[in-house]
Amino acid sequence: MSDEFEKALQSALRRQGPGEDFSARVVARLDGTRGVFRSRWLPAALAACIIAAVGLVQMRQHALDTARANQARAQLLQALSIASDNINIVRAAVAHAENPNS
Amino acid sequence: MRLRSITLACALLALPALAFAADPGRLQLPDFTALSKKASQSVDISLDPSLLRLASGVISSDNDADSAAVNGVIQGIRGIYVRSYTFDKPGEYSTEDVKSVEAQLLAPGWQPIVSTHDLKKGNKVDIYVLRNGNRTDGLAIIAADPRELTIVNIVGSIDLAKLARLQGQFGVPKIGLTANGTPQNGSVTVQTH
Repeated sequence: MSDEFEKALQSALRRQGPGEDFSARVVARLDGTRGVFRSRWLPAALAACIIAAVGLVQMRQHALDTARANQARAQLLQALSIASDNINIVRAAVAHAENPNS
Repeated sequence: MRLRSITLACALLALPALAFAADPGRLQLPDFTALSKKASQSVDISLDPSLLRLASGVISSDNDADSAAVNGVIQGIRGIYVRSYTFDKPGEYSTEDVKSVEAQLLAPGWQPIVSTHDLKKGNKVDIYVLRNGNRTDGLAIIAADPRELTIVNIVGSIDLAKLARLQGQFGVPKIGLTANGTPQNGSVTVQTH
């Protein structure tokens, strides 16, 4: 009984080679995993990157447009002030010439 | 093929000239880089129609009386160009600097409407308008005193009375005014001795 059990144990635990195609099977399995990663995550990551990049460009463009508009507003008000000042200087001079006592 | 390329290049080069021709009220302001280097303060503003639209859009969003007044003035304006230089001491610019501008104001259509010359202080302000029938197509202001030179060119239709009323807004102090308006017809010269 004990001998039979020992033989069965030795048979079960005997040294066994991995087989000639072991490396090929491992590599094939790895390739399969990479394929799954590529097919699922890569397009999603690319899309996320593109969306983020487009968003950033649009944000930057909006900030630039706002700055440009505010600068144009400030310049317009300054230009109108300068023009208005000079017209009023002339108006005052004309009024004074017409009525020196005023 | 080569002839076509040359024609296209010539057409592209002529575009700025055509733009000026399309806007008779626009003056070709000289390059004042040398003056701006000598000036203690300089203002160089060039607002073309696209920038004016941009500025008008921002001003409209303010929704107050000042912005309504500004939008009322700039309706019909196609461009505003200002060059203004303030110097620490007198004599930093010469009359040659404004001669090319004054020469353009001799062109048909441009009329001096009012000018004030204070001979004692050496100040002068000349205002010209470009009239096309009853319409005003442009305005030019040349203001010079010993320490300051200002040239303003407004292209398009402008109401001088409305423009004058803007003074005192945007933090600009008012001067004591007694006149009700600028002369509508003819030209007036005021000389102070």
